Amino acid sequence: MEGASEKAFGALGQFPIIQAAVAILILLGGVYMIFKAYMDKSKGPDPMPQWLMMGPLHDMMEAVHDIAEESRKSNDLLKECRDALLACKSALELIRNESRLR
Amino acid sequence: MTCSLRGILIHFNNRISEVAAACVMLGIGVQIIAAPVPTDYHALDMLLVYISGDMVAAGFILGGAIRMAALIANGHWPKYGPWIRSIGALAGALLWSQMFLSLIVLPAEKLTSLNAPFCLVFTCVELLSVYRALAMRDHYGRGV
Repeated sequence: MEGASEKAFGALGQFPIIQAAVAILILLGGVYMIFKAYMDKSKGPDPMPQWLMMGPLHDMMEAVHDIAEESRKSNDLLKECRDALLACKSALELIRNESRLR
Repeated sequence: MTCSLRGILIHFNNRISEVAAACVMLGIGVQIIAAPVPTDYHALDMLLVYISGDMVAAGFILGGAIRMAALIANGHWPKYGPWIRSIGALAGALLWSQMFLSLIVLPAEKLTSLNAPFCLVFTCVELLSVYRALAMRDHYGRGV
């Protein structure tokens, strides 16, 4: 029996056995990962890792920055409106005074 | 997904290692087609004992393309997407481990490439990807 197995291993060579062993090891590792993934998932959702929140937080900061920029532009426009209205008021006052003098 | 750098990074998020692995698989497939197998590809020695060079190239391109499709369509195939990614990563781990094995048994004078550490690291990362694709597939309704 030992002689037969020695011959079989000799004919096969050692390397295919190592190769198959590594392949089986990797497959078993993969199957273990699949089972572990299922078991971990059935425990319910994990608390959200902080680094996952960095994207939305960054987006929020960018949105706040955009809103602030828009507000600044609106403020400038309102200032210009006020200046224009003041100019109109002055012009109307001048017209009124002029008409009174006549 | 927008085609800006930021859009691509947001879409792939922390799956970028899987994208890299899929790209490498596609690249290896294309290289084998461009310079067919009698060329000195020692990393494929062990695979070529059992399958032809054309089949190896086809396997790399098919595997890489399917993984890339699953990653691009992320979240739109909630049932099958994570499984495709997971099985793709397992197939990748098998390929990288066989390539690593082919390289480490070479005699020192034939060992002209520096790919062995890459193959080993890719094998480990692919096994982690198998886990991640399935364990975290419900975050935001998509595989993370």
